[in-house]
Amino acid sequence: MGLNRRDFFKWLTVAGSAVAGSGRSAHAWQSRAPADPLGCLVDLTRCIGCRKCEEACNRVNHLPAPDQRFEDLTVLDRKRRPDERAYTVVNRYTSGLIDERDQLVPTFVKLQCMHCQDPACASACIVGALSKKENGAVFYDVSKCIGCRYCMVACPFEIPAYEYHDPITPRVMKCTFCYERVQSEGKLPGCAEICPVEALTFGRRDDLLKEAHRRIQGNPGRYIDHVYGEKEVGGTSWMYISGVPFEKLGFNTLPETPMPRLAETIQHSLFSYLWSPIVLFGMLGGVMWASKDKGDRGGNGKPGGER
Amino acid sequence: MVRPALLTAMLGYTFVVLGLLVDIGRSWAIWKPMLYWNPTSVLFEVAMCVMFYLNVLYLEFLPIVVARFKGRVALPGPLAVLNAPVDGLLRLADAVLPKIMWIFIIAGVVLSCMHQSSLGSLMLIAPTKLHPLWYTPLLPLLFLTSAIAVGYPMVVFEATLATTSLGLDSEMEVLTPLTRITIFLLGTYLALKIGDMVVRGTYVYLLDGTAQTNAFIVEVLLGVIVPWLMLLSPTVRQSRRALFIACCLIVGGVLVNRINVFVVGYRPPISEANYFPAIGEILVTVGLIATLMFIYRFLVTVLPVLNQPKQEVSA
Repeated sequence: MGLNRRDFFKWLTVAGSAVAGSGRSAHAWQSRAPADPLGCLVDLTRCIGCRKCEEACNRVNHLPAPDQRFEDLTVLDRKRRPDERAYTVVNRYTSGLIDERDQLVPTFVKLQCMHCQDPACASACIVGALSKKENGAVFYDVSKCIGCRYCMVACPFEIPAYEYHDPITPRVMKCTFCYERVQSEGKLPGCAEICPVEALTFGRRDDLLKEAHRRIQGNPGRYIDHVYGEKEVGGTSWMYISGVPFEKLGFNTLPETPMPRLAETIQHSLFSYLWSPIVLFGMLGGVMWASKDKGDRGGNGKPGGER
Repeated sequence: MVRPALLTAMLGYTFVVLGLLVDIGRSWAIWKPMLYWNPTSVLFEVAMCVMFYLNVLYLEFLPIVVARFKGRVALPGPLAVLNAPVDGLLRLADAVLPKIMWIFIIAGVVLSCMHQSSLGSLMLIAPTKLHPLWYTPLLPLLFLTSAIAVGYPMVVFEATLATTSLGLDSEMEVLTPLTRITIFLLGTYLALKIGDMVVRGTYVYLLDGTAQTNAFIVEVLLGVIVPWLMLLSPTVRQSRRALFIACCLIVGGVLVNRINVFVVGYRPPISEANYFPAIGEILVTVGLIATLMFIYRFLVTVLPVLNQPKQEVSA
């Protein structure tokens, strides 16, 4: 056994590089995005930072009560991130622009899961607890989750949060796009329903994109010409338009390539039908069979025999 | 030489799984990947490989247990009624295993190739978070070649420690030839690593002085280049002390590489929070490794793993 093992490791690099480089042309990567998903358009020029969306989200999702009341706007004095107790938060940014009374003009940014068309989290999840639904929601099924938190590594928007305080049944917490309300009850997501200034527009993603570009074209002075989420990471169900460049509002600059593409391409070209393990197994079996004749196999199973 | 390596692998993987059991939040759900498959998930493939590989390692190790206990099963107290059935199982294993062991030996190599490369693929899902010095489509190949290259140095490391600690022969006549192969294997890894850096032009980061860049320089210089140059010298290869130092550097270099890819180089741009393991996490890890070493030492005294110790002959 020792003899053979040693032979294998001599061949290992050869075999390994043969497998890795065998250039079997990868199947072109296919997006699994739903064809006609729902979405939400956030118009940052309309948002007044009233935090009604946070309150509605907390209510419809039965989240724990906040430390400070939702009416308390001093919360906006510091930047927050969505966490395991709040699926959505609003932050205030100032670009330095001042109004006629010398007051800084604020821009409010609502954050939540972007519900990517090709979500990295769903591609990464070890058990498929996260999945992209036909209606556009990235859905979390707690009954499958093992708590590995690889979704949190994968998410380019750094959205999924985790109940670290719970030692037995911690959950990954993130915006559900109010999946049940939208799918079963035919309602709007809590935040989009309550928004008093129509900063949130809920609808078919295609329609929202047209509306976004219509608003930008109709008022080029008010908006910068960029719909964030149209192309970022291959497109997201939540999209933003703004009067201030997005990089000044805490949005990170992301590639247009869907996040799962490279990993899935490599993974599938190497392991579809388990062809590479089978080939490697066959090669090593051949090596072993060939070396069987010249080597002695007397050492097998006897203590100290393989040395 | 094979048996200590096998024992190291078996215990190592067992403790990886124990560590993961602590690491995942819903430990009781660790079996779920067997039921809910996600073929797009790199982590799923790693999990399956580790699961199968651990069982393969147990099967490969079984003959050593058989050799020690066959015909000599003597369980204490009331368990003695099980002596005959256990001995029967050992005899069955002794009869069957040698005939089919080749399957598990090859499967072991295949599974470790698959999952070592997939460990590298784990970070491919996060291109915006991993520092460009490490983020490359070659990550799986780099992980595979470095894992192969670290094999013999790990054997030297472990054999030197064990033979010193237990007062056995140093086995240099076996170890020295092994490290000649390592020159080639480690050289391959180094060539890929440098080549990748040149092709992607990431050498522009090398002198920017950030923690990531410095960690990369330490990793490649101290963990790969220096020990590789050391191994080129026959004097080093024949000196027990120098060889041990070179092998420590190689093992440390691969260790630092893994830490760099998953911790140091991992910088999510928004939540800048720099992760550093909590005291509890460090203690659990240290505790697991200490337990592993204790069990290793226990097993080599009970089972025929190392050279027949001289003490045993005189006793």
